Amino acid sequence: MEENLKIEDIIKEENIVFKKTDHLTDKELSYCPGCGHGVAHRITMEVIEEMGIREKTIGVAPVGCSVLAYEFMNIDMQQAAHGRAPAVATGIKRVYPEKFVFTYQGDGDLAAIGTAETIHACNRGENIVIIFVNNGIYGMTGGQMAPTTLPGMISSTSPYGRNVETMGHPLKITELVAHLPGVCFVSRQAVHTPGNVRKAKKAIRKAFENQKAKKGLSFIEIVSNCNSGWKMTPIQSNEWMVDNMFPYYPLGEIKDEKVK
Amino acid sequence: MILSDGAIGQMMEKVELFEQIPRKTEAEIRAERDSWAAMGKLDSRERNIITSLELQSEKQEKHNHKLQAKYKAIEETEVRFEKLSCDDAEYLLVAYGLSARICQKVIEIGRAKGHKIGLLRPITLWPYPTKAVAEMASQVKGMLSVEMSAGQMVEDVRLAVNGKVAVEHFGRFGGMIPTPDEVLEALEEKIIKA
Amino acid sequence: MTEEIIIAGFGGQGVLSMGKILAYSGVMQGQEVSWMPSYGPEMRGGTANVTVILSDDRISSPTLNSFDTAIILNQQSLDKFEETIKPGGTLLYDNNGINTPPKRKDINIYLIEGAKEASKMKNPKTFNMIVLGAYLKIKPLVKMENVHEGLKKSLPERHHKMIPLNQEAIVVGAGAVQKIQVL
Repeated sequence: MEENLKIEDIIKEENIVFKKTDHLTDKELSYCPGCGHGVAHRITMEVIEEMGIREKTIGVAPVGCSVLAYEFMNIDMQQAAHGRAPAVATGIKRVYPEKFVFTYQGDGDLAAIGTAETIHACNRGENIVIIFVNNGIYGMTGGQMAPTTLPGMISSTSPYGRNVETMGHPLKITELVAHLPGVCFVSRQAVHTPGNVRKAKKAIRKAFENQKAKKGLSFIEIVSNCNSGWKMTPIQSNEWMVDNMFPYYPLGEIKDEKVK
Repeated sequence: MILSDGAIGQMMEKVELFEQIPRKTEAEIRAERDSWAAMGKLDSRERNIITSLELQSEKQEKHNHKLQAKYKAIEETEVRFEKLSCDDAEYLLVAYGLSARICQKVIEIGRAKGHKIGLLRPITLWPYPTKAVAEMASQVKGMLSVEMSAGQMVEDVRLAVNGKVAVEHFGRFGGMIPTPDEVLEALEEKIIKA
Repeated sequence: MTEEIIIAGFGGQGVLSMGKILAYSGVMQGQEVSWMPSYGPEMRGGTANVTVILSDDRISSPTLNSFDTAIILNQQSLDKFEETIKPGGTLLYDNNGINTPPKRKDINIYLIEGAKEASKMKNPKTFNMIVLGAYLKIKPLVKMENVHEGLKKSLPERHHKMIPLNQEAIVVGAGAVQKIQVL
């Protein structure tokens, strides 16, 4: 690198190697620093930009931390009641079968109050994409135990750790929906390292391509952290996620049906 | 919200089917609704978001005012009801769904006995035909709300009537269907004789 | 003209389908009709009844507590519905399994030995059309050609080959109806 390189030289158009997609708004993210939502938002929007499908894409926002996803995603969006995003997405997709419809939901939304809507949309094989961000906790409301909370994991409503004898086992809803014939593609990814971000984006791209090819429902889980709810620093929470979440929620492709 | 009647799921009658309306094209829908509908963001416009949630109370209140104005407009323009034999009615039955059909029979047998009975059938329960019920209150001697419940609509009728005439309730429930005879009997007991 | 009918018997006797064919026949004749069934959760056995209304005018209530005609096919239904026939109205019943015959003096009473006639036809499924034939003999409210159209409408196409047999049963019923008490 040259000695006297000025900042103006560095940010010249021809030197730019990365740019925030204009499919994200310029609004400052309201998520906690270190949260996985920001990256998950970005790669989802990048896929839509790269496929050139914004004019045909409708997103369905959930209830939870990402309740205001539409503040950041620069696309047309519809709010749904808590847990009902797959039902709302079903309605939109059936009215507009040629458009791209996706839901973006957390575990408290998708795997708790919305379990019925999730499973039945999957079982009907609605031709939509579900992006499921799982941090094993209710983040927005203050770190309460969710169906996805790990055994022994401390939360504000399981201060002595989740006791599976009285509180049940963590729900592996992703494995559950993979059994359903209406679901064509199931993948579990993470966004805590550049390598994982690339893999997660690839999975999301594939999910939207599946929708284009009318293959059925694609279900992408992103295992994420909640450093605020877990009472850790961002780095600690990522390490804790790797050590504790991944063994229970192993990353990788769970189902890929080539032909429907 | 559309409330339906269990009876419709069981019974058969003649129905009129309307001609199918062809689906609008993408261009037609865009022309009509692109200003607000979530149907894919065009580069030429800002994104459309369908939500009623604002986290800032000031903004949320403003949005609530907008919704209240909308509800008011609906209340003024979307009320639907049907009036049967009301022109000379001295007693009014108020009923919806299957109860309203049964009440039509009550009018037949009641008028044969000399009672001038009419029926007001709300088609929309919200917005409620408050004005129509209130107008009838200055014409009739009393009203009977006939429902297949312990009394859900009778309060709306009473609110509309505002004490002008007697409003009573007659209901059967648990799957029992009121018979025309017992409705007439209830009208005679609770309203006509009282 | 308005004719308010209750047809009642055991589930499986063809109570509801008899009512349906009658209602469709009325539709074919351009009448207003209503068909309102009441039955238990079981497909066979239990009690079943249906209120059928044929009218030249708009029909008010599809459920009624008194009838111009009751078509009664078992004892329970006779016990329940004999009292609901309007004075001067008509009762048509099948005496198979009836231990206590009707007692009313202010109504017309007809008998159809439907079960017996059906076994003579060697097809128990013709039972309800035999009863319908008896009813139409007493009250010829719909023309036979419209009954034929009604049969075609209410039976699925795969059963259309059964229409001639059903029509035969209607003729048998019309010939077998017996007057018990006519005012």
